[in-house]
Amino acid sequence: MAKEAVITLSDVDVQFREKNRSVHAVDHVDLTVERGDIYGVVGYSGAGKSTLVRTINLLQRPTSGAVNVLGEDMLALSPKQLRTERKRIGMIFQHFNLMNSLTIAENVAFPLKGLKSKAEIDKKVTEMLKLVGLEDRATAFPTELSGGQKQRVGIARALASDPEILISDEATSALDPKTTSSILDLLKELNETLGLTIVLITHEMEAVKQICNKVAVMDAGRIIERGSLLDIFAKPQEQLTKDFIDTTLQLDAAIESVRKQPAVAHLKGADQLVRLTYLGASTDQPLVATLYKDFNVTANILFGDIQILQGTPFGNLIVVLSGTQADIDRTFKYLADNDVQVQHITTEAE
Amino acid sequence: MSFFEHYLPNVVPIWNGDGGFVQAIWQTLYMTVVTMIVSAILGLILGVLLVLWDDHGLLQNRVAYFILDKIVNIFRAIPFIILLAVMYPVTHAIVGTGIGATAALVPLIAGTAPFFARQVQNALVTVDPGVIEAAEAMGISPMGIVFRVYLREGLGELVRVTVLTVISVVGLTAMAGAVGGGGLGNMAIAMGYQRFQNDVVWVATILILVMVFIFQFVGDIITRKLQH
Ligand SMILES: Nc1ncnc2c1ncn2[C@@H]1O[C@H](COP(=O)(O)OP(=O)(O)O)[C@@H](O)[C@H]1O
Ligand SMILES: [Mg+2]
Repeated sequence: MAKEAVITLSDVDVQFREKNRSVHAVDHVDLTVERGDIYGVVGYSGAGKSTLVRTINLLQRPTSGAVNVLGEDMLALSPKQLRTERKRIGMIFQHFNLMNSLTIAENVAFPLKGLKSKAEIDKKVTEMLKLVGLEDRATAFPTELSGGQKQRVGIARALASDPEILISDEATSALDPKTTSSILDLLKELNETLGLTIVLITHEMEAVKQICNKVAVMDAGRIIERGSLLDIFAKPQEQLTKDFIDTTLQLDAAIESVRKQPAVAHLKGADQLVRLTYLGASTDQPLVATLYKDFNVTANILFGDIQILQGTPFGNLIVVLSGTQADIDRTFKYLADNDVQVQHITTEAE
Repeated sequence: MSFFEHYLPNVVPIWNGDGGFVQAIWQTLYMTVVTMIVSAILGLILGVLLVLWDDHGLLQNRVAYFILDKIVNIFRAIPFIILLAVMYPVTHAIVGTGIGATAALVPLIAGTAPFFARQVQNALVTVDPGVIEAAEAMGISPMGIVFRVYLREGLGELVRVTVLTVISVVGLTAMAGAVGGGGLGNMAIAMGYQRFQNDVVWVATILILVMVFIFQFVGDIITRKLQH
């Protein structure tokens, strides 16, 4: 079943020209987001993520390229039409961007003022505050709220005009991990209950892992790799993508301590220290048991991390494989055939 | 009464009546209030335009910004005492005379409106650009953003710079007064200083100070009301 594309960026390019330098912030990017997606765009600071998503609602006009959102050719719209269209695209920000002079309820009512009757606005505000769990803070001012609560207000405000798309630009980057997680859960819930399509920009792969179904990795203005969350985690091609995935595991620290263990310090014969990465179905048979039973290779697990991505287990094991060279070679072939990624780890610190 | 007659021998005879202190107080208030009202409207419009036409503004316009910016700078660079002389023909053309409190309004406004425009600009650029961006993303029009975001979020700063401007206008009226505008400045110079009547100078000064303190006090109350 082909899903409806709600955002299509075609060959979008953004260059900032200043007096003595020119920044190619977005370099000929194509991006398609389908209805119901939670599309993660991940990359380091300065990669061009914000600039890219700001072309969706034309807060940033592209230097060249086409922007189609919800069936509208955005670049062909008059200023007035563009404003109408923007009401269908909500946006939340890293620093919340609430009006400090207004109460929480007034902030949420802000986008509706003048468009609906007072009674309708009041009803909508109550409904939105309830949705984000802040109905008891309606008369408070933003300065009285915690970061997480402020972002909830930001979400309520963004959703007040019933948008079909929500753009989240580092919306959790100023929050602690626990609050981040609760905001991400809220976004996921809104995605499921309202059918909201979300574009989630972040430099934290952890956030992408928690709620996104698709992900694009950005570097120097380009999307260097993209795909479904599971495909990207299962078979990352680019080093940067691998690095981002590794940030969600505490692998570096684990490898450090693994290297200090006697089993590693004194590897014998054909013994190998490897990292095994597998996703879900790769392992319908108990992996370690199979290696021993069918290949005569023992796998001594020194570190293990198994997480659930969209209901699918994603495992990372650091093991010492022991056996004869021939058996180990056959084992590698078996692992490759079963979509288990093998990465050799040197026993000495680099 | 004898206390005042004893210590303020020159003030008492000219307290009431034509050219007296009471009239001077009213003239100063009149010049200050009218100048402030007209300059506030002009300065607010010009200040908002400076913010909108700025390179980071909503209606970025390099040429328009450049011109307005230079005009504001030029008017601010001219010392007020000189502006009084420079504006004389204009004043005469508008008011029909160059003398009196109403005639003084022309140079007062010419000196104050650009000053206030710059103050307004400085006040409004303190509004968080992120909030402006959020309003843009919500599909609010530039006019809507001016009235609902800039003037709202910048209100505290606007009150502060307004008080600052009022106080500066009181000072300017004293100067305008000295060259025929009437008011407390005229009183201090023409009746006091030039006639060696020190008590007149002192009373005029104290009255000006009292006015400044009252404006400041009112401003503080409003500012406090705005904070939560
Ligand atoms: N308005 C602008 N003017 C000039 N350069 C900009 C502007 N906005 C962003 N840039 C530059 O474009 C590049 C990408 O920035 P950005 O999109 O903010 O990256 P990210 O959101 O991934 O951190 C950076 O080098 C940044 O300095
Ligand atoms: Mg960014």
